[in-house]
Amino acid sequence: MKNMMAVAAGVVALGTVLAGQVPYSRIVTAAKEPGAWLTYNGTYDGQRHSTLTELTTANVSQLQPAWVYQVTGDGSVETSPIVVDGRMYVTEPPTTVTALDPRNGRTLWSYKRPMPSDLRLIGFPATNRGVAILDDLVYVGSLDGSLIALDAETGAKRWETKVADNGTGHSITMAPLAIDGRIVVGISGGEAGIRGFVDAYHPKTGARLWRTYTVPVAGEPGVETWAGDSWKNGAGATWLTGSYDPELKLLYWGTGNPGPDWNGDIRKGDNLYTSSVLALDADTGKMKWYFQYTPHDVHDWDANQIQILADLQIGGRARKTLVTANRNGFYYVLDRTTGEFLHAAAYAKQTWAKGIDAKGRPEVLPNTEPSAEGTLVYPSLQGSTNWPSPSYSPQTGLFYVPVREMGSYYFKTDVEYEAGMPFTGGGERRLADEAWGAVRALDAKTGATVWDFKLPSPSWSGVLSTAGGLVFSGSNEGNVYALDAKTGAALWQFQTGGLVRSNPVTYLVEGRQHVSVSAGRAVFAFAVPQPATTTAGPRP
Amino acid sequence: MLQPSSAVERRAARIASTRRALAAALAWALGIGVIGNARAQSPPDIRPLHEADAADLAAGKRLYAAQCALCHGMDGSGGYGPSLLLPVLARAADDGGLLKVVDQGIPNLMPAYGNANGPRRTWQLAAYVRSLGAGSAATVVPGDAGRGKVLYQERGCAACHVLDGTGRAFGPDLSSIGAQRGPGYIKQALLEPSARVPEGHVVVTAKPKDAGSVRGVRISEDVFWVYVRDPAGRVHRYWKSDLEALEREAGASLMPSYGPQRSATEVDDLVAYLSGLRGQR
Repeated sequence: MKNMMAVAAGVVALGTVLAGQVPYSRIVTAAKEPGAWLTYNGTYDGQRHSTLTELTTANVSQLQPAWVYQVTGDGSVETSPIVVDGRMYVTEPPTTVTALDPRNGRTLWSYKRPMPSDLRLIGFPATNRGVAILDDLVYVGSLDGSLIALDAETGAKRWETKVADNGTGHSITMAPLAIDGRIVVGISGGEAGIRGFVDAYHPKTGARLWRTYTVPVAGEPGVETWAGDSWKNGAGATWLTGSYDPELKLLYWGTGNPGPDWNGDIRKGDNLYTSSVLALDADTGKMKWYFQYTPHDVHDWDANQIQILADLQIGGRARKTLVTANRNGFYYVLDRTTGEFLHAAAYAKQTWAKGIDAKGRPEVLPNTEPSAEGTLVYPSLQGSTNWPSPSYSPQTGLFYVPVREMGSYYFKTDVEYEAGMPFTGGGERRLADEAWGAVRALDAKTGATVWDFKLPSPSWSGVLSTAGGLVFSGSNEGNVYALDAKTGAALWQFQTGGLVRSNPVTYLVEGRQHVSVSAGRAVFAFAVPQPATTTAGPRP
Repeated sequence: MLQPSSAVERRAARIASTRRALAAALAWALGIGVIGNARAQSPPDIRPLHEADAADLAAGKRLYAAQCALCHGMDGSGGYGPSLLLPVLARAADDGGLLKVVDQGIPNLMPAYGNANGPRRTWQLAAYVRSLGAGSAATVVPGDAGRGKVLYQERGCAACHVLDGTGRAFGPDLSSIGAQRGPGYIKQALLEPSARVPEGHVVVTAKPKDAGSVRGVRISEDVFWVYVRDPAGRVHRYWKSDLEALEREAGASLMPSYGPQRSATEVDDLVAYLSGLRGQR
């Protein structure tokens, strides 16, 4: 009996080490559980805002590294961790999932997906941006085009299903989205002439429940926006995690550039539904509405940015809105129930459009198309912002966006589709020497700049805001830093020694607020050190 | 019925032949003799990359635009992938290394198009990539290298450049500049230095709120700190919010132009000398 008591006590003491169930009911109310980080952007609305208040403008200067985890494989480290029930799930290139103890960064298990020697990564390096969790399974998309379910407790593979063929340039880098009874995943391959789609899979079996293509085929509405049969290699990749409104039961998914990227001559027309946001019925995948940010895009301005769902007062009326800073340099406010265009404003230097008209269509300026000799246009190919997550704070009403201020000469070349080869038709020459970056705070209703925190180069780091009045982000030069959410004043910084190309998250470890972000080849966790104790030795 | 010449078998045979040809090309480029031969026989279309002619480079350029520009930029100045205009490429320091990367890619970083391109097009593509950093295809250098060597000493180039370990390290090391840059590039750098600013030599002016301005080369910068080396070689470190302004001069160079006060012959002599520098890297 005494022994059994001891065993029981041990289990209790290790209680946080046991992976628990993460049902949909927990994820859908994630805002009420800020000690965990349950989905890619923290909550389904994509706000990447935490209500944790332990870290404030007064004490953030005391933040120090708690631990560092070194990543193994080659490629780009762009992981956005999930933290729940005493586990942190990070991903590493090429397609590796590792469960860490968030208290000290120790590895509990690691799943490494072997990659074929002829892996086709067309237009991006090996990377993975994170997992999804639902019940007791962790889901990851693989670079070779599969969706894989792993046991959250042990890392054992429960099932895998082929999403698409990598031989034709299909690949998965994004974190899947777990909703009620569905694992939703998109696809990369926008530079390989694929035909994009969003898929939903059964969480327990991996059976495909629906697929919605982003480019119509002959006979379908929208195909008239593609000259000839150019829709066949029309791209419209779906390579970044979408947002979800559980009340409207709508998924909001950004779509990428039309193919080929820079030569629009062979695909005259608006090229629906590329460079758009699609509102999809979560049960059926049926498109409820779409909004095309960049009709007939010829600059590779994917709309694969985070579509944030926020409830805003617009024109004296409470509106359920979708707000986003698009790669094309404009900030948009849409009605997320109907797709109605409400407002747009440039938030970064752009030279391609006079403005956005009353219906939301850009008024494109002449001589901004790519050309044989090169056409100078702002922003550059990677856009005024890109996949790194912005943040919206309901407390400040500000939309915090990582900005890339850079122009490029855009070139157009001849191009023919060949399966599994780049299908791009041109490229850019960047004006890198004069380029710079920023974390920019926009008034979420208008897109007007409220403050600007300048960076030496165009940012690849996401942004996190907290109810402690803080904004966290990183830089290409290795800094991780905290800003005052109201003013943009720098309050804390740490030099990690590696490029920050990921999204920060925050959570509690044994009641203490931590912030984690990857930089270079490592995942860092930061916390205010505990007061000194009398315990000797390194054990905290 | 079996199809002995099925598409699959033809493809397999093509790949095998591609692999053999490329292995021979790589062996040749690396200076390794082909087994069984007393002397290595170079395949007909495999020569050192700098010997590519205009037609080869034009073919390479088309392949580059289709397959490489996406990540490395139309002119090789970089994008999602690194710049290819650097004097020495980290993963492709010599012909063999470059051919290998272009043929086989880099696991988890760069795709392999060698099988799709075949050995000749792979060689043309590698030659074009090599030409990007050199600035121009090899041309005849009209000057006198011997006189150029004397001029290098007399004109004080060593006040800012290291050559074989000697000189002051303010500008780039020139010990192997002839292997890294073509004569056209070197000549332009002498006459119009601001047109050829090497990476890592961005000119900035730091204006502290409480001290005099410093104009020099930015040797390091992050969000909060900047380090500037002034022309006297002193390094100044600034906390950026202590500065009234930090001006970056895109396309500026601190090197004086060699043009206005020198004869054309003198410039050619110096180009001839520098083009012959192929010392240790």
